Amino acid sequence: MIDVINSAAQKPSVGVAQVIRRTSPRKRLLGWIRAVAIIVVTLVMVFPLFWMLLASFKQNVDITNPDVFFFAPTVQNYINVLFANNFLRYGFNSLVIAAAATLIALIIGLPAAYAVSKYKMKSVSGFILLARVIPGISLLIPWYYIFAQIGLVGSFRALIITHIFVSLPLIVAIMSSFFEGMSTELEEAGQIDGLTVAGTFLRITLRLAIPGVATSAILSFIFSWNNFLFALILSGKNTTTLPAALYQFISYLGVDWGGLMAASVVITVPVMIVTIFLQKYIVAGLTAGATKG
Amino acid sequence: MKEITRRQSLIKIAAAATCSMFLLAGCSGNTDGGDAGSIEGTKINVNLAAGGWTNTVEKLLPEFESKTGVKVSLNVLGTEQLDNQYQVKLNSRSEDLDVMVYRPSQSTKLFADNGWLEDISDRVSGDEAWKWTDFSESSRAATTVDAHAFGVPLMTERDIIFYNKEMFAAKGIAIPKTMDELEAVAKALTDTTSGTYGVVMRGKANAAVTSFSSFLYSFGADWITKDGDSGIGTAEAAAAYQYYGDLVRNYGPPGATSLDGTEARGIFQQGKAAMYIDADSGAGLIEDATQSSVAGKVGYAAFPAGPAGAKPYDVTSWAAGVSAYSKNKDASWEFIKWATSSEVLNAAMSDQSSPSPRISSWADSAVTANYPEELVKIFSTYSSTAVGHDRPQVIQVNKARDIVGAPITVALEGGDVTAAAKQASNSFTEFLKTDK
Repeated sequence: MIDVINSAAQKPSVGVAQVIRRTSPRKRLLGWIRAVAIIVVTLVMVFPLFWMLLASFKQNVDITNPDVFFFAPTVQNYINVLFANNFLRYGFNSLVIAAAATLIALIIGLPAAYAVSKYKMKSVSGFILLARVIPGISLLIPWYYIFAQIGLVGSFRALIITHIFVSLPLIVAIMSSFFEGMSTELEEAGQIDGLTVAGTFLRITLRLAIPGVATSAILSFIFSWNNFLFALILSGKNTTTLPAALYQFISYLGVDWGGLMAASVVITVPVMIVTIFLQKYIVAGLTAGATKG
Repeated sequence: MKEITRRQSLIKIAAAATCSMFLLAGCSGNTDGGDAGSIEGTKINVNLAAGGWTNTVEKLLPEFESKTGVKVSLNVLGTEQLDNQYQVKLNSRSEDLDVMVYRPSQSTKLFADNGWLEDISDRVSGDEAWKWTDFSESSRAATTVDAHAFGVPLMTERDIIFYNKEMFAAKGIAIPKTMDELEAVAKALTDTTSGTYGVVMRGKANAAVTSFSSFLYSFGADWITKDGDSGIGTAEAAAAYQYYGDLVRNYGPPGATSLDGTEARGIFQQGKAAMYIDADSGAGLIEDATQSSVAGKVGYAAFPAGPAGAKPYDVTSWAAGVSAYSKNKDASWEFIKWATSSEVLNAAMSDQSSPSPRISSWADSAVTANYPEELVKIFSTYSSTAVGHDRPQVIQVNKARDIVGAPITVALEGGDVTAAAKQASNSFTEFLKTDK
């Protein structure tokens, strides 16, 4: 629409109405195609989630039934998940591990990223990123071995350390390019006013970088929250995380779909809430970061 | 110049990191455990698969803990996750596995070969009251390698026909006793317009190996011959593949090549198939009204006879052993002894429909009261005719299943079965040479 008005403004010799008539059918068609495409993609993306939600309120006999929408709803699956299967405890474990790993990775990763961006150490950043390229399973056996030797298998510490190993490179990679994109004028101004380099980082750069920090923190948190492989091998009875606990619903003889879906809802909802909450924060951060006169 | 030094330092860091890893890996220093004293206060880790017998153990565990003073930590996992965990932990000689619940047909050879399971021959024969000989002969054989016992059976399974009584009654059809009758019955009960099928079985190649095995034996073949060669290149084996493929393709639901055990049973549970041929351990789920719309309408029949007679599998699907690296072997054995006692196995059978490996369980009317009567009868007839394995008895079972399962897919798709069986047989011969 803005294009139409602009082009009309640029060409005063052609009537505005004429311009709209000539370009609008094509534009309108494109608009329709875009709307349809958005709806199709959304449906494809949302349907599995929707099915998961529906199934979590069904008995197993109704889940395999082709009649998707008509069934007698039950909350038994949620009762099983939250009380009989101890999912609150697993949720607590997941939260502790994800939050601690993210926090520690931020504390170490932010100054590292700052140094990488300010002192032009791109190759270091690339090298650190290798940790994400190596498949997790190939790290697990040596890790397991080391943790077993020092008696850390089954502890929160082992899981937090392994999650940091993967979160840290992500945070350094995202934040170093974020810091690089920031203007240096404010920092220079701060240094002229007597701040040290560390002081500039803490008092100025970090505060302006909050949107970037939030983004990398979300990604790191979601990685930890969803990680299954490390928890499978390194967690113990008291540190089992939600994704590992999901497998309790898959027995040798059959899959308890209702319980599995209810548990999946329990796992998915907190991540959605965290993301939605932090997304607002990102938008707020963007405006807060604007330079004022 | 500066660039080069930086790169060199990176290489040094990488090298140092690698070296330290090997150093740590070097200081293994594994001391063989086994405290001779009291087991009271010992903590043991038990790894086991979700469902069935595990539910009973979870329920009754406080009884064991208060009786012995042993603290038990149960780690319940899915079947494949359990396998993955064993691979990682046992490869690094972990001491934090004590009791290992495993699938003998899938793992006995591998575990015994790698020395991962403790030889418990003396322990099993040492307790008269617990009675090792009460376990069926075939189940004991499944956990024994070269006369050394490595595990105690927990659950057994037999290949049977589950049938929908209402569908059979509606057409006045009798239970099939032979392969020819099975085909005729499947044909008569297939009605594609209403979406009901005569028979549903596994079709996904790797998973279907077990349900196909009874057909293979009943047609007069086996995976491996007595001389240790491939047995699937014979005319009998080709006929078995052909029969299985034709039966499922013509009288089963479409898309059979993607069905594993759970999905095939799901179709039967929805009342979409007249017969389902698979392990009797699925009876509990089929008779559960919250899972199955055919609960209470299901009959059970023995596997039909082929050209070589009726030779269904009768296998031990789960067993418990002691990890060779455990430091609490005495406490672990006490746990296994308790968990495989008549009391616990009987409770698992009556509450969870988990078929017991103990012969006495099947003769105890208190145990079988909750169990389909026809299955008890089948149990007694199978002991003389059945075959004790449902997949090739090799070390790398999964790889073997892929090879011998390939002709099943070809048969289901209506391809050239004889050629596919020949080709699979050649690959299997090669495989058997390397599987040592």
